[in-house]
Amino acid sequence: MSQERSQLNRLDGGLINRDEPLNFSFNGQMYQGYTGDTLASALLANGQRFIGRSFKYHRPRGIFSAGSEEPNALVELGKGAHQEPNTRATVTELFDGLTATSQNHRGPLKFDVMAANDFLSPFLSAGFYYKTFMWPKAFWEKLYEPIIRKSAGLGSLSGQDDPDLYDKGFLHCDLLVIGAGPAGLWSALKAGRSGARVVIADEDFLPGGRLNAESHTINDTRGAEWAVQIAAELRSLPNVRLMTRATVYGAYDHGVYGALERKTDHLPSADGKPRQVLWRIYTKRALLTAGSTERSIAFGNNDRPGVMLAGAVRTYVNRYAVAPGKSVAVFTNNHDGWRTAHDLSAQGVNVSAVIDTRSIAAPMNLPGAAIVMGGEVSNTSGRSGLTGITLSSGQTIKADCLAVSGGWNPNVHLTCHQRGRPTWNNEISAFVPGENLPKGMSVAGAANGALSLSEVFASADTTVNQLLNELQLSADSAPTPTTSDDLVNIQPFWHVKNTKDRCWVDLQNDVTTKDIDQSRREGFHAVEHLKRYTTMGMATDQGKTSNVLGLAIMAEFAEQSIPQTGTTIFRPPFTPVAISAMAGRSRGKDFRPTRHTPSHQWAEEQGAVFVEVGAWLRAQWFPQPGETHWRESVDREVTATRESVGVCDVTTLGKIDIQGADAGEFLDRVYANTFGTLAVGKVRYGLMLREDGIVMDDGTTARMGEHHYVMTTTTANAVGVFRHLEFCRQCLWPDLDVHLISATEQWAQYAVAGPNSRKLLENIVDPEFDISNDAFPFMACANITVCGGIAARLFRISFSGEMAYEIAVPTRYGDSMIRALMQAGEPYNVVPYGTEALGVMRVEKGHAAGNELVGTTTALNLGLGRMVSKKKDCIGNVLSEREGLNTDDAIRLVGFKPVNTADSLVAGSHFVSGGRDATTENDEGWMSSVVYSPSMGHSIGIGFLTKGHERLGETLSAVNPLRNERIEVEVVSAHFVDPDGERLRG
Amino acid sequence: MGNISLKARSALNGASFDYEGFSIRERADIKLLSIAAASDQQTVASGELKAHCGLSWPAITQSTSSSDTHCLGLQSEQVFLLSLHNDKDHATLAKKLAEKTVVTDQSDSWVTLEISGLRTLDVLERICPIDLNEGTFSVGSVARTTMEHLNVIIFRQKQSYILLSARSSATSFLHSLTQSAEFVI
Amino acid sequence: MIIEHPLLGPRDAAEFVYLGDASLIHRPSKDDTNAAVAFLEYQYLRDNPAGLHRELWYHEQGDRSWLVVTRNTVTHEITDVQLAKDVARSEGRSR
Repeated sequence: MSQERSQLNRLDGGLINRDEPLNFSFNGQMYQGYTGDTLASALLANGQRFIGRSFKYHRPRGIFSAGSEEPNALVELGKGAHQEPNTRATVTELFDGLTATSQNHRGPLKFDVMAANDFLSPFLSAGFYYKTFMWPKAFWEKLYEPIIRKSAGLGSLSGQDDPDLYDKGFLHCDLLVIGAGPAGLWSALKAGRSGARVVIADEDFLPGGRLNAESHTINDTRGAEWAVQIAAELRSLPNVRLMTRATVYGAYDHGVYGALERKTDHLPSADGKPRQVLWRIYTKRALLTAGSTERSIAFGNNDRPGVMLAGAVRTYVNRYAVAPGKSVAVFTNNHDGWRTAHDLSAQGVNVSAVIDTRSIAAPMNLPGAAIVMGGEVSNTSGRSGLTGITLSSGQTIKADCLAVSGGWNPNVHLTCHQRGRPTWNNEISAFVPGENLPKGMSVAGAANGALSLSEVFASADTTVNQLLNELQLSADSAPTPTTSDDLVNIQPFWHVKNTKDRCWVDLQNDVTTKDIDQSRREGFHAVEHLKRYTTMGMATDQGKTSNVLGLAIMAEFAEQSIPQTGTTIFRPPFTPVAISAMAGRSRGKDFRPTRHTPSHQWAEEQGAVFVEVGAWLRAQWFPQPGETHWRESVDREVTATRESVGVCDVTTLGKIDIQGADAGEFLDRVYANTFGTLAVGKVRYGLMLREDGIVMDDGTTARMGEHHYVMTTTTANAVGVFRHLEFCRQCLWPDLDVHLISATEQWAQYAVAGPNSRKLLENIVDPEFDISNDAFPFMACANITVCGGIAARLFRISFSGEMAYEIAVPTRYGDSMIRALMQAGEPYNVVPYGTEALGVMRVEKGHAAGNELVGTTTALNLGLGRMVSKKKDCIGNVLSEREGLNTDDAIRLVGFKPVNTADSLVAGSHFVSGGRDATTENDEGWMSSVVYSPSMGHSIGIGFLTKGHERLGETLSAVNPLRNERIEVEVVSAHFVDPDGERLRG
Repeated sequence: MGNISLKARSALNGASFDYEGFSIRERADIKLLSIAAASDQQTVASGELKAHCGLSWPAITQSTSSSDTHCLGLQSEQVFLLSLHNDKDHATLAKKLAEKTVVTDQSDSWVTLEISGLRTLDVLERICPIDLNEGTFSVGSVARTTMEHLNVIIFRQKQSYILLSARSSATSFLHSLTQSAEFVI
Repeated sequence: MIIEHPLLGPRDAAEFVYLGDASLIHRPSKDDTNAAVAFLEYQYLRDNPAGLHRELWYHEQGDRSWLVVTRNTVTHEITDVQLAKDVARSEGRSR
C-alpha cells in the first residue's frame, strides 16, 4: 500500500498493469510505476513535473506531450557506457531498474548555475552567436569555440564506445502501413484479410494510436479494446507482420522505407541480443496513417512545467490513469480542448477553467469550472512549476496544469521525403499532404487531415480498397466501424499579442515570438531562413510542436497568409536514429569481411606477422627466434631467397580465366601490347591502359590453350579489372566470342623463387613433366600434375628477378601444398617470405607496383612506352598519344641510391637538382618506393624524375620538407639486381 | 625425397552449427562447374548439358535437377552445375562438356553451406536483401546477391537452402550466419 | 534505390556499381578520321541533363551484367532498364 500511496496522482482504470509494479530512479531518487507506463507517465504519477532545463536559457521544463514530438522532457538514460542522452521520457517504456537523470544543468536540477542565461536573455536572442563571436578573429578558436562547445548541445555523451549490439534487416511486402492507429489497424486488417503481404509498424509499444488515449467507442466497444481485438487478428494472419516499437523514419526512392525497431530498450537486459534493428522495407505500396500532432499556442511564460498539450493530458488520464494536475485549466481554440475537460471530469479530476479563444456558445456544461469564451491566457506563474494563470482580462485562476490545444497538424513528414510539399487546408487550419507524394504512397486518416474518428475510418476504408485494387486483390467487404463524430471546429489562434512576457514557440530551442519578429525585421522572412536564424525546428524534435506555429506567427507579423509565407517540409529521419543503428553489426572486425589465403593457417603456425591488403590478410614477414626487428626477418628472407630458394603465397593476385574463340583478339584490345600472337604454353607481361591513356593495371597473362588464357591482375585491382573487362565485352564488342570468369579463389598459387627453385619443384611436379630450362624456359606455362596426379598450373615467371616459378593447385590443396613446398625445400633451406621481402625484391629489380601506378602514370613514365602498340586499336592507345602526355621533359622511372650509403632514403621525397631550394618550381619528381636492399647493403629507391633516363650518374637532392631533410642521391638504373636478367633465365 | 602427397581441406573443415530451429552445415562434398555457351551456340550448349547430365538448360533464376546434380541458371548464358560426383567423374564430365561449351571448374572457388530449419528465413532476413518469400522464391529458385558485403549465390531446395560464397572469406560468411542466428534465436 | 533488372526483377541498388553516361558504349575507333578528337570527346564530354539520363550500371553483386538504366536525374524515377549488350547491338556495335 505504501507503494500505491507514493503514486499520488494515479487514477483508476487505464492501460497499465497494476499487478506488475516497476522500480526506477530519476536523479538518484527511487520511484515506482507499472508495466504499461512510460517514464513520463510514471514521473507524473509520482508528482514529478520539473524534468529538465531548457537548452539555451536553462529554464525549468516539464513534460509537454505524450509522444515522440516531445520537446522538453529529455533525459539521459542508463549508466556508464550505456548512457544515452536526449531520450524522450514520453516514449521511454518503463522497465524495472530503469535509471534516468535530467540534463542541461550544472549542479542540481533546481539550482542550475547556467540558469543565469535566462536573465541575460535580452542579449542572447536570435542571431546572437552570428553577431557576437565574429571578432576578434583569433578569439574564435581559443576562447569562443571552447565555451560554446561546453555550453551547447543537448545532454552529454559517455565518451565511451557504445557497448550495445545493433543489427539491420530486410523486409518485403505488398503494403506497408505506417502507424497502427485506427486508420492503420483498419487498413492493415482489410489488406491482411485480402491476402496481401502486409507490414504494419508503429512507434508505440501498444497498437491503437490515439484510441488508447481517448474515450471513443467503436462498434459499441471502447476504442482501446477494439484496437486489442484488431491487433490480435493481425497477429494471427501469417501474411501480416505487426511491428510495435518500430518507427518508420524515412521514405526513400522506389518504395524503400527505413524503420527502426527497438528490440530490447524496454527490457532490463538485452541478453546478448541487438538493442535495435534498422529495417530496410521494400514495398509495392505504402499507406501513411501516422495520425496528427497537436500544437500549442504562444502566450506569456507558456513553458512552465505543468503547461501541456491538451491531447497529452487526455493520454495521461485515459491511457496511463495519471492526473497531470490536481486543478487543471484548459486553453483552446477548438472543440478538441473540451474533450480534455470532459475526460478529466469523467475521471474525477478538478477542471478549474476552460478558456476558449472563440466567441461562441460553450460546447458543453462543466459544473464548477470557470468558462471563458473569447478569452486568452496571457501569462502564467510558478517558479519551478505552474501555480496559476492570468487572462488578458487580468483575471487570475489557480491551476497546477494547463492543457493547451492550438489545433492538430497532420503528420505529413514522410510525404515530404521525396520533395513533396504539403498544402494548407483552411478548414482544419493545418498543412495536409500535397499532391506530389513519394511514388506508391497514399495517406489516410488524421495524417490526411481527417480529424474526426468517423472520417478517419471512411478515409482509411476508401484508400485501402483503392490500394488493394491496384495490387489486384479483392478487398474484404467488412463494414466500416461505426463511431461517434467529433468535430474540431477550429478558429485559428496562434499567439497572444501585446504582452511583455516571453511567449515560447519552440520549447526545445528556446525560440520565442520575439525571435521570430526579429528574424522578420532583419530580413529572414523565408521559412528556411527563419529556421536557420532562430534555430526553430532544429534538434531532436525537429519542430513537431513548433514549426507550424512559428510559421503562422511569422505570417501574422509579415501580414501575409500562411501559404504565402511558406511551407514546412521534412527530411528523414522522422525521429532520431542512433548512428550505431545505422552501422548495425558492421563494427570492429565485422566492418568488412576478411579474406584468408590458403596458407593462412600454416602461416599463423609459423608466427607470421600479417598485413591487410584490401580485405586480404597476407603474411608480411615470418619472424624467427632471436629476431628482434622486422628488418632482420625481411633481410634474411630476401637473402635466403636470392641465395637458395624462398616461397611466397601469391594467391591474392587476381586470376581471370578468359576463354572463347575470340579470347586472343579480346586481349589485344584490352592490353596495350599484343597477345593474339602469344604461343600456347607461353606467358607475357601485359600492360593495361585506361581509355584516357593512363596505366590501369599490369600483370602477366598465360596462354593455356588455343582459346584459353589466364590473366593475372594486381591484388588491389582484381575487382576493378574484371568489371572493366566485362564492360568491354558487353558494351563495346558484344559479339566477340569471349567468356570471363574469376578464378582467383579457385587456385592456391605460390611463388617459388631463387636459384634452387627448380630443384625444389622437381620434388613436387610429377616426373612425366619436364621442367628443365630447355623444356620449360623463362615465360613458359603448362597444365601439369603434382604430388601424384593433382591437377596444377605452372608458370615460369619472376617478380623477384630470380629464377622463379608460380605454381597453382586447387585451393583445397593450398594448405597441404605450402607444407609440401616447405618439405621439398628442406634440403635447400627454403624460407617462406612475406609481402615485405616481396616488396624489397621487386624494388631491387625495378618493377613498378601500386606506389608507381597512381592513376597519373603513363607507359612512357614507366619506360614502357614502346609496349603500347601503334598499330592496333586498343583501349587507351589513342589518348596515350596526346601531346601533354608525351613532352620531352616527361618524368621517367629510374633508381636512386644515397651518395652516402649510410643515409636512409624516404619514400615521397621530392627531387631538386643543383642545390636549389625545395619549391614547387624546382620540383623535378618524387621517390615512389624505398627499401633497404640487403643485396646492395644500403637503402635504395625508385621514383619518377624529369628526363630521368637521360640522367643516370647525376647527383641531386631528395628532400623531405616534413622533416627538413635533404639527402644527396645518385640517379641509377632501376634494375639494381641482375640488370641483364641472367638469373631469371637460368 | 619420399613421395609428397597433398591432402584436400575444405574451407571450414566441415563446420556445423545447430540452433533451435536452424542449422548450418558445410557441404564439402559438392563439386561445381561453370558452363557457358559459346556465342550463338546456346542450342549446342543445351544439347551438351542434356547429353552429359540429362538436364535441361535452366532459365535464369531457375534450376533443373536430377538425383545427384543441380543446374543453376545464374546468367543469361551461364549456368552452374552442382554435383555429388567424385573427383574422377567430375574431371571426366568437365572434359566432355568442354568440347563444345566453355567450362571452368569452380569447386574450389566457393564455400558451400547448407542451411535448414523453421527459423531459416528469420535468420536470413537480417542479411539477405532479396525477397525469399515462397511466392517469389519457390523451391528451385536461384539468385545471386550480396550479404554482409559478400557475393552469395542462394539456391532453394525442398528442405534447405544452399548458399555459395567466396572461399577466401568463408570464415566471415559463416560468421554472418552464426551472428544472425545468435541475434534472432 | 531499386533497379528493375530485365532478367532478375527488382534488385537493390547496393548490388550495382555505377559507371556513367551510356554514350560510353559508342567508343570511337582508332581508324576514324580525326580519331584523337573523337576519343577526347568520348572520354571527357558528357551531357548533364536535368531529366532523363541513360546511364550504365553494373550488376557486380549479381549476374555481372551491364545495364543501360534510364533514370530521371530530378526525381530518381527509373523508366527503362535494358541489358547493355542488347542496347549495344541494337545501336550497331558488334565485334
